[in-house]
Amino acid sequence: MPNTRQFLFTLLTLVLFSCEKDDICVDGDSAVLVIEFRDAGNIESLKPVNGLSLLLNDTAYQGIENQSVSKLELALSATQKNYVFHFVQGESELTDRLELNITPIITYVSRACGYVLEFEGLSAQPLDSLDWISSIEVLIETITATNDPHLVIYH
Amino acid sequence: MIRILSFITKRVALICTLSVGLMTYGQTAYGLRVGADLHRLVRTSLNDNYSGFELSGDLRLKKKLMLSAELGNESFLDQEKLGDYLLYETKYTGSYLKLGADWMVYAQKTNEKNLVTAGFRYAISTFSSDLGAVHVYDSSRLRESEGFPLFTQDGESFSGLNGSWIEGVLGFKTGLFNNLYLGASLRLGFLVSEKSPDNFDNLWIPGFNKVTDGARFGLNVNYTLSYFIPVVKK
Repeated sequence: MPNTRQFLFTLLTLVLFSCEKDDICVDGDSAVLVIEFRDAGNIESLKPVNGLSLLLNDTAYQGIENQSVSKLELALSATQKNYVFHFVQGESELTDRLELNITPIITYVSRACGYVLEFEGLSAQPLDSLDWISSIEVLIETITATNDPHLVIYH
Repeated sequence: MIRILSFITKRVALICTLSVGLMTYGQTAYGLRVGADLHRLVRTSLNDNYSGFELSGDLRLKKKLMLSAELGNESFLDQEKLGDYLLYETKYTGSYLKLGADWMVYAQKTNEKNLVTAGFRYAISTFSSDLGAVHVYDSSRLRESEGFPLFTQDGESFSGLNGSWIEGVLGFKTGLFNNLYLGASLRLGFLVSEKSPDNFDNLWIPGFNKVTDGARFGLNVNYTLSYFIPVVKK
């Protein structure tokens, strides 16, 4: 059946050539802010927060409500530069307010991806005296698409 | 627009002077053909994102050799989408000049009304690009449940960009009547150099057409109506 074979070969060639590299984005993605919660007594080890809620303007940010986590990945906005987050610890119902300042920037990747969102100049400071958090530390000020923690919260 | 027109008039005048010069110098010049691209005119009227025109000229130096040139101005709004959603859009505007030669591969023996030519061009383009709405690619879907997050409604503008390329040309011409010719050509360009902006690429270059990531080839066509001015008849 040489005709069938030829037909299939032509079809395969057409399928292969019709899918261009330019049509799919594989080279990059927008960055997220990675926050880690660590033990205040042992700053190298992760320590989950029991029943953590993260509030921005009195609503749970990205559905983070009563979760027990040691790491948060926050997809920050492409336009906002200033955030006041309420970190609520479920057990004690203590709330600590942290102010974050950050500048969104765009980085060109390729035709298919276009621009991805990254951030620079991260700074964080407590708005009033801290209750359940003992201290915070900014590890990396420039946020690109990696899994390294940028902000560490010791408690 | 007036600047472009005066630029073109000067070029045409230059080509004419050149041809007259060649005519008086020797008997090798057969004539000058000047034309306009219909393809770009039709595309301008049909496609809202495109406007452009191209003038072309060739000068027959020898029996089988012609010097050829194209001069054009194009503007294109490139909209990059992923699925139904716009990622970013860029408007490219600029002029180009292509210079080279064509050889007659086939000419109808009786009256040379039908020609097949093959040739090359060296082309330069100067242009600017202007980003419109820029959305950022975000696969997480945390920022926007549908579409992509908007970074800015009016992005950066870049000027002083340029590109140069070599083009292989396969052309066909047929004589209609009274020295009027209809021609079509297919061109494969190879990008030699380009000046692209910081934090962006040239995704489209006037005269070259679409620039593909990771490849230097570009494809463009023209469809010309041209008039042959016989200078010397042998």
